[in-house]
Amino acid sequence: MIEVIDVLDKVIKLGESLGAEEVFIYGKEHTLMSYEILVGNISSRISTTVGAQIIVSIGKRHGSSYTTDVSEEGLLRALSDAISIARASSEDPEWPGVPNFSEKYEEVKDVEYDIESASRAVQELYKSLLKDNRLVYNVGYEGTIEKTFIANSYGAEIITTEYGNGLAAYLSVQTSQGASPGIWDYIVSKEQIVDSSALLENLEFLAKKAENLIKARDMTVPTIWHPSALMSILTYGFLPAIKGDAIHKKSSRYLEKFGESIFSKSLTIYDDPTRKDLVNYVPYDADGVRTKRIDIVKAGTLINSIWNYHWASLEGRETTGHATRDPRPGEYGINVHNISIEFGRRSLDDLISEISEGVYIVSLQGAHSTNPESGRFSVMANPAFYIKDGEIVGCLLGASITSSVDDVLNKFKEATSDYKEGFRSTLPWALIDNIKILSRV
Amino acid sequence: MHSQHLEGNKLFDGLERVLKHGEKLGLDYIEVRGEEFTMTNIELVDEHINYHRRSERGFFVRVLYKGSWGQSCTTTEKKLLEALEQAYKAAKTSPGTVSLKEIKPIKDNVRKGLKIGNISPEEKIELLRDIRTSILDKDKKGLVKSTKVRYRDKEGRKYIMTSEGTEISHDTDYVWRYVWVSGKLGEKSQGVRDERGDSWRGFKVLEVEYGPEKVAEILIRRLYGQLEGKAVRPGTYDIVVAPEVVGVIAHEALGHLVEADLTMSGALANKLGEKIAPDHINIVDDGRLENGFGTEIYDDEGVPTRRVEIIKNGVLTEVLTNREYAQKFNLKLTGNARAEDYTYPPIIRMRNTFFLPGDYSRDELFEGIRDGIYVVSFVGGQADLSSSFHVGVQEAYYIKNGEIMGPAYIGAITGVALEWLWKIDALANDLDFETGRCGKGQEALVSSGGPHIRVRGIKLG
Repeated sequence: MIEVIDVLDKVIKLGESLGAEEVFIYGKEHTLMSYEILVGNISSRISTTVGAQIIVSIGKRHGSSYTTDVSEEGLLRALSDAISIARASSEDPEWPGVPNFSEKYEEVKDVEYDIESASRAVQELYKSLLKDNRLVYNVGYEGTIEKTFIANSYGAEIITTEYGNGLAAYLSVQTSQGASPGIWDYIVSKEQIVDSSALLENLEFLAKKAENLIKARDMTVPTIWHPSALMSILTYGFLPAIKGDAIHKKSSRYLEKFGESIFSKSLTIYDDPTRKDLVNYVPYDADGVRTKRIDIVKAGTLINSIWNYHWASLEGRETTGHATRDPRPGEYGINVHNISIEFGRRSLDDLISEISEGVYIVSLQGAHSTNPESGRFSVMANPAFYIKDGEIVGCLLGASITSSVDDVLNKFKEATSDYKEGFRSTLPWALIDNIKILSRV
Repeated sequence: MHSQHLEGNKLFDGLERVLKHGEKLGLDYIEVRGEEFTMTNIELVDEHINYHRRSERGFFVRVLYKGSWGQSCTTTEKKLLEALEQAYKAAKTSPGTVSLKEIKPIKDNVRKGLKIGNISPEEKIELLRDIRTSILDKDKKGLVKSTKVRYRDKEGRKYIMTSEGTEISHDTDYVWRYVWVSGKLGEKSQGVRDERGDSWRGFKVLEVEYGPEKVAEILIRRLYGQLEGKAVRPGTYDIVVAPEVVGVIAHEALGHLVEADLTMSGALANKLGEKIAPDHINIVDDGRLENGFGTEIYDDEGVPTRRVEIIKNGVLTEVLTNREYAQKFNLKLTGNARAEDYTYPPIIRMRNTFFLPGDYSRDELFEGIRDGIYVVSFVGGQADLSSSFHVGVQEAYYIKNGEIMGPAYIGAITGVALEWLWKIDALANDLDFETGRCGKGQEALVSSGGPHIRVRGIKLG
């Protein structure tokens, strides 16, 4: 990794001498440690891969190349490839150039997760979950350390280290009515995970409830949404409409709605990648722009959209530091780093205890088919649990929801004080009122 | 030790060094997979081209030690021995019970000859632009708001070498494209897609067989149908399902449940040999399907692929395996161990999964349906261990008194596959496939399909 950084300046200068007006380099060293028991069989992995993407501009032409060979020779070959692609491409009159920031920042951390401690946590959890009527598909641990480097023709040189580890389990319960929907849960943390007891407690609770399978019937009831279900609808139905590309192309349904109160007044949504204690701490985005907390919805009013350098330049505004890149396929986009809904004051148990009849939705099957423009979706709530007289009493079969993300966010009533860190999110559970459940069985 | 056809390949020399070193460590089994490839990704978003090329070379090392797998991968050839040591360290973490079904080691060299390197960047860009132009030309009502055309090709080779003597190299070439069109009518916005890939015939499939005119015609029909289609009122309907959607149900709701690692945890656990569907239901996964997107001669453990009869005359007959789960559950080898690339271990994946045709003509399926829905195309599918599935729908039509009528908007079809099977009362004698990418933590190229089928009493809306 360090060897790569030493040659970046040389690659950029050579690129310029070969006719590239701008050069941008984005690379990653990815270290993975994992331990998994899959249907009783153990596999474990320790590996490190490296690679770098080089983007060049020649006037309004641009080209991109990725290589796993990060030696000086390898990077120079990738540079030459990117230049030849740019020359073969046609002019793009709207190409704003590569990100032109010039900040220098270095946050290199030597992090290592102990796979032996992790393996003990996995084994304990696996053994505890095994019961006669259960099929434990997998219990797995994964720790990742990602060192990212960014450099460009404007003098930027940014090195960051992002890391975290997680533990997850997935099982089904065999009942006289057949297999239950898959029951799963996870925890993530920056600190080494050695204890699985909290995860076990929750899985045991849900698995016990899944022993009682209940065929869903049509009903309109209050619902509790797990952070994972919330993240699904935000990802597929809400975020696409607040991203700069949708706003620039005028395809966002929120185009004329910024500054207006369009959601429940109880709802505040923000993105905060600046908290160093969370796994989603991201000090710089993939353009090399310093990140900051952004309020997106405040007490029901839509406040802000999110932008990367490319789309912000086309719109003639500042980026908000939300660029993302996957350098291998060369994907570049806009996304939140750590989206959150403002936490409430009461616990998940408090909220469930007040529901006389309702549904606890853990996951949404088919959320990815949400219409990104209208936010409309038709999904299976699976797994979902039936709440009766303040208690979860069983697992629902065949519960579907046809609605829109805006309708759900309008019916948002209260967030819990409990929260869960997840992929690009730190979210609470949420009480959403009056959701129509349609039976599919 | 080299087989003749691999003689002189520098990558194989590196793999052989790893095997020798592993033998000294006393490992029970060593498998090294080396891969080198060039991949082109092009995206045409409206008028804007993004052209990206990747050149990769990497290695996946997998070892078995005292019943536990240890794995590692590296992009640095100099670190291959280090990767082996890491895999050994990982395997030593705790003893386990993994053992492998015996195979006869094979030495072979599989060539595809797609000659992707002969296609110039300009030709690829022209194909994408032609697709966009055709879509805009066919948009007579001016409803299209945006287009996105994605293209990918891969040209490379994969080398597998094991301590048991397997030495196989094969081409990993393929071409693929995906087109997304979004449009608006009044306040209603919709997007539709078409996806096509080929791993045996190459670029001409995208250029000619599923060329710009054809894809444009399909997408405009879908888009107009979605924008102008009347929403289906909630109710119970008899439906006719077209091959593309039949395929995704075969794949998502049934195929995943017969991947042996999942079978033993899901709705089909302990059901091998049992009747789970009517007599007329037959489903296969065929690893050797001619021109199948998931067709390969060997899997990533060096096991020959074959046709697997999953459901035969309604009986669950076989499940898909790799060496590990074939041994664990005393099942036959099927050649379904697949890894996306050198960064992943091989896991059990489908290849080309489909319902076998029946005896009815397609038209006969519609006869007698007074008030039904014809479901033609999907966008996204998902299922879980209980066989509960969700398939987004992007093209559907009303059926009135046996006739196909105007477009219907239904959003999605959902249900429990093991209940659905009993509601299929007729299968047509046609057969068609769609090609796509399946995600199970890593991507696999797959085909799926079947004939038109009729399903009775399905809740929609």
